[in-house]
Amino acid sequence: DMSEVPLSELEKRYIVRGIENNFREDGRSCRDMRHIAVTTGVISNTSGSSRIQMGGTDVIVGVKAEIGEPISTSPDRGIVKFSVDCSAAASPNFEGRAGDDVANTISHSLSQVYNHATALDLPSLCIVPDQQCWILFIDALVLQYGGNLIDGISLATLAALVDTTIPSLHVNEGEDGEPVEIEVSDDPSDCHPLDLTGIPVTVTLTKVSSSCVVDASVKEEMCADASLVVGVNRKGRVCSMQKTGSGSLPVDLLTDMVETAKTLGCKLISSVEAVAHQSHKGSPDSGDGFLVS
Amino acid sequence: MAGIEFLSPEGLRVDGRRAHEIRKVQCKMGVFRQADGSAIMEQGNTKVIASVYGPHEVAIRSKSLHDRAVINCQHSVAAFSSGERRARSKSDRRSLEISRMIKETFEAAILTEFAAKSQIDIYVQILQSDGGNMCACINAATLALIDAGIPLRDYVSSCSAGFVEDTPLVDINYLEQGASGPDLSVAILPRSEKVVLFYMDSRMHVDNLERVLQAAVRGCHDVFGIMNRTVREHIEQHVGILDSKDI
Repeated sequence: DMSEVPLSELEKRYIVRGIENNFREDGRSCRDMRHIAVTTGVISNTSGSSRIQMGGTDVIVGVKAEIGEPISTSPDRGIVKFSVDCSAAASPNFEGRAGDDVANTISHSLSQVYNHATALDLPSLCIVPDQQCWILFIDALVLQYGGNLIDGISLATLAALVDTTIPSLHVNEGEDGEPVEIEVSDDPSDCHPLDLTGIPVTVTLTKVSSSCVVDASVKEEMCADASLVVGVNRKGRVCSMQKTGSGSLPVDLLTDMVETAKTLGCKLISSVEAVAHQSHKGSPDSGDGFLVS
Repeated sequence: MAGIEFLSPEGLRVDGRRAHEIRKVQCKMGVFRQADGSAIMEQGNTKVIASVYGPHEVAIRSKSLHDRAVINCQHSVAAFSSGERRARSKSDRRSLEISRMIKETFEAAILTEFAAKSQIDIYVQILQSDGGNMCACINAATLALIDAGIPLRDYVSSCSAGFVEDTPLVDINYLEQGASGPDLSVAILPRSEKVVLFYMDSRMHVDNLERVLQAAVRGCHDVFGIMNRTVREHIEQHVGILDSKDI
């Protein structure tokens, strides 16, 4: 599959039996997530950026805001373009096309989540209806693959969006016949953050044998039947759901999984936001390169 | 570009450096646990990560060489790395060309006879691009190879140089690259002073070549000094633990 870790039958049985007894290979219980390290402001020429390390998974997200034309069917809204790139550094399996397949699958699922009208306040990104709007390019780069990639990417995206600021604009309404002018403020501190009240994060619940675990490692993913990826916002509302994997999920387990995802999702959003607000490293005097994280 | 003074009358460049000064270099080895060797290299605002996997079995059997290792290199650029956001395909021509140049540079430096019938992968990823990208990639790859324990003839240290107002400029950044002057990238094996990479795709008068090349080679030596120090500190940190009487 995604990784090249071959697992013997015995190892699989060890992992599955452990999970059935609520004891995972690294000592966690089924509902425990791994330690998450968040840093923001890691890439200087972006509008916002972040790096998340969650177990063996290492993801950087860069957000760039540029001005462009809105979509003709939604002239009063900005646009969000979300993409994922799996770096060959993460695994030789990601070299060339193979990495693109994994990346495109994740891009597609998450892009629908972020493009929803309630996720990011898209109407606030409109500049001149039908003519100009902000386009937010959110690019995720996977540096290391350690399992639970989708959640890692969505958390890193949240942190990067918290770090993002949009320059303030002044729109000169043209008189009849004259084109509208947009002046972007020259002052680098004259900018505002994004409205993230509706932003979701994903929580992936992986079914292994008859139990489900949160934040699966690579080996656990290889023992899994199927997973449910649930998008949850800070109010505990479910924004998206997707079943992945070739196995099946019993209906009663489904409701249980969604409840777990809702609780966990809310907690994750508040914790990651709190850390992201504190940890901005972008200041030129800080002297910290990317290295220090 | 009109209006930008690349070299002021006092001898200062756009970022305050003198003509012979390289940018601030920060590097670290062993940044990723999963790769056999990895390193991150920052030269000014240019940030590059290199990962090395190998030596391992050759992925495509037919490409295996009976007497030496196959070097495989992939170079990719993050979409958020440059001023304007641009999605780069991994197989666009520029990327492939740079991959090929890095591969050939390291074929000259790695002692490939020590790993016959196997493959060494070098993956470089550009996180931030501010000029001197290829040079930073080569420097990062050298450190990653050392971190992976792959035998090398010597370090490969790389630096770029330009030429403005009759003065060679060492380690040019993105702005200076756009000055439509020459942009020469050089990589050397510092101890033997052998050139393993020599690349320029701009125009330069041949009379200036000697001076620009010398400036680039001096820059390479400066970068080598920093890389050497970093490697020794890294080893001290790790070997020092083995020596500790507490264990």
